[in-house]
Amino acid sequence: MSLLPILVTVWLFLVGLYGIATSRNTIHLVSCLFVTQASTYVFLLSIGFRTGGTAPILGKLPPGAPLVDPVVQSLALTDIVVGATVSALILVFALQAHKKHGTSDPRSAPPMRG
Amino acid sequence: MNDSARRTLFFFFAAILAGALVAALRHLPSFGDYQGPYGDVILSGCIPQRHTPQGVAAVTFDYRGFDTLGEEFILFTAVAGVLLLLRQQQCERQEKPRDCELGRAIPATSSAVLAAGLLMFPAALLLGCSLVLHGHLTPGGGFQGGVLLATAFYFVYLSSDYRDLTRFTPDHLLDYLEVTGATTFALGATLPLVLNRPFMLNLLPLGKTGSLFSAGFLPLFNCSVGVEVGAGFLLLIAAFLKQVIVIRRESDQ
Repeated sequence: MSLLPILVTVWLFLVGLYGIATSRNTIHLVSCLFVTQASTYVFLLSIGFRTGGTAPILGKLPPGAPLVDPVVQSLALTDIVVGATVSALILVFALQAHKKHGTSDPRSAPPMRG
Repeated sequence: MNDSARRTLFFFFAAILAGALVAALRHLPSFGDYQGPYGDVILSGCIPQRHTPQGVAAVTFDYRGFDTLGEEFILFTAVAGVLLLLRQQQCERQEKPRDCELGRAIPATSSAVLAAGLLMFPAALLLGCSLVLHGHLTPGGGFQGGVLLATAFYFVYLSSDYRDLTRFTPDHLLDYLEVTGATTFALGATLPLVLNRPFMLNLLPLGKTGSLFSAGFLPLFNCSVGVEVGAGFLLLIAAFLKQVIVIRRESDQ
């Protein structure tokens, strides 16, 4: 059972990579990149998980209640924000390449020149 | 390289990578058996040291605040890059905004959608503000609340049209909000340096744990990040919408 989160992580990572490797459309490629990145969320959160633990908000919890690790949750937050904005930036490149060359196939677009 | 060769090559190396990853990761502490110590140290320290019950916010904006400052500027730079790349090119012109759909007319907004929009806009806005303002007390915070704040304005777009959205979210105001959010965070973090104290030290009083004005700089940073993320996402999506609705190639009709 404890192998399951690792298998999910590896599977998500490889499925995303497969999509990137065989992609014929830049928007599809960016989505696959996001799937690849989702594996890091699963991995980070599974590291900090504690059986029976609740969210690391102390509030009115009795002392000694099991809590999950707040550090990895904070890292996952960073991960999501950076992923979203970087995806937006790549999509802009895709849009401009499409405007210029009339194609959104990453294999047929020639390299960009500044 | 043809498709089947590409696939074969991918599967070959993916199998090696999968094997290596599983072999390496299975020696980690087993799932559900987190050993610490960092999380536990922070959770035992965040109430006495920072007067906040919210462990994640304490890590994001205080213990690991320096990283978050960098992350915030990644966001800022990405938004600036998108706006720079999507500016009107020489071969393009701006037209009257028009929703275009190939080969069919756009149906008028139904009154059911309009009513849903009228209901959802204030609700989403309120929930976003609450998430940002209570980020140091309950689950939520600047990043999550900011995205929700931006989303609220898309109920305006969905239940009306592009011109109403631009009236609600004028670009120059968003620019100012974006910069204000980023600067508040950066200045708040560097202010202690001017006073010859460590970087990002809490200068504000810590207050009573659990009250709205507590945890020093935390609520201020949450608000500044909330404003920046909200404005940033609105600017991002506005730039993409503009490409579809307003900007036309010189040669197109």
